[in-house]
Amino acid sequence: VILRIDTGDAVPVYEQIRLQLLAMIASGTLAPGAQLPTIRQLAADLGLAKGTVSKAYEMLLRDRVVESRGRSGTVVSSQPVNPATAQQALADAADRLAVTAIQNGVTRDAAHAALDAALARLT
Amino acid sequence: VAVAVERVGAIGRPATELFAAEHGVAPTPEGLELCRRYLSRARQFRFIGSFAGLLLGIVLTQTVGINLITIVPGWFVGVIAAELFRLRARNRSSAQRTASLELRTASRYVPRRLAWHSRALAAATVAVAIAGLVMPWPSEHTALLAWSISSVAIFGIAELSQRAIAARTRPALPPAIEQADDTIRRVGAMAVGYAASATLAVLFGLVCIAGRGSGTAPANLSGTMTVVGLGAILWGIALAVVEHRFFWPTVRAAGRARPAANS
Repeated sequence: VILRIDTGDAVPVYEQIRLQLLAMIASGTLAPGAQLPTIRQLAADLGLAKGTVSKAYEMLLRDRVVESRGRSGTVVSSQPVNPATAQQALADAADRLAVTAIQNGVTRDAAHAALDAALARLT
Repeated sequence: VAVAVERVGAIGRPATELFAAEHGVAPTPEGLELCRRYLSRARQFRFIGSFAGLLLGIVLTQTVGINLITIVPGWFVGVIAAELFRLRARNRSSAQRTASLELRTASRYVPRRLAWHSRALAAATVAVAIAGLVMPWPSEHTALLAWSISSVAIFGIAELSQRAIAARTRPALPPAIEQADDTIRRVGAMAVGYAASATLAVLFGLVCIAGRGSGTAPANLSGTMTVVGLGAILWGIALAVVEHRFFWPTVRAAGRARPAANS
């Protein structure tokens, strides 16, 4: 399971990490109970500051997508994601998609097609 | 010494293929190159550490000879230095970066039995040292303190090194290189475990001998401690030999694939 980031992207790196982890959890690539790498390990592997990875993990913890289990580290939560949190995350992601589409002059249909393709790929 | 270090670090293709086959690394060019570089660096540091231990023994005893009491710790320092050398931070200048989400912990690379072996030896060394210090008969208190503090330090350094080996930076890699990298981590972490156990066994032996007491000490106890101490030192040397054969396989285990004939 590979995480990819682009430090030159307009989307903050912590957000890239958060979104990819969310996508992996939503698609079942990361099953409930799956252990995530430590902040130190992921930060070192990606060549980032620990705070950047920590911020992504904290946001996932806050949304209860993952949970901290002391010595066992951070694991994917076995509880279903809170509907309100899911709705908010969806709205945020939709905003980002819309902004990207507008900035790149992509038509509404092309943006819908890109979303459909992503859904088809991940589900 | 420089010529010897250079020669020790010159690893041929047959030796690399033997190492790869023994540790289950796929013989791809990238995987073999990773193994060759690791073997080269590790052998050089081990040689330097052992040689420094040999010189230290000569200086301390003022006698030209092989002093295993200093060579084994020197070799341990060499093993640790080889692994720490690989921890140097790499410059990640590329904007696009990848990482595997696979969790890497020391327990993944070090067998539980080996980990407990080091812990038990460190604990036993401290326990015998404390016993030697509180017993009513005279014993070598300075030596007891020095060996027991050294054993705790060696145990701590080994544990931290094994964690650092597991956490060492790794971008997402093709499966063959990832497997080779995993093997090198396992060999490195186990080498540190064996080296720590061997050194701790020697220290335990020294503590037993230093704490055996003299004068009013019961003769049976004193004799037993001496025998146990000498046995532990021999055990430490045997562990060092086992580790060397594990790190530098020269005899093929039965049933394993042989390296390519043209190598």
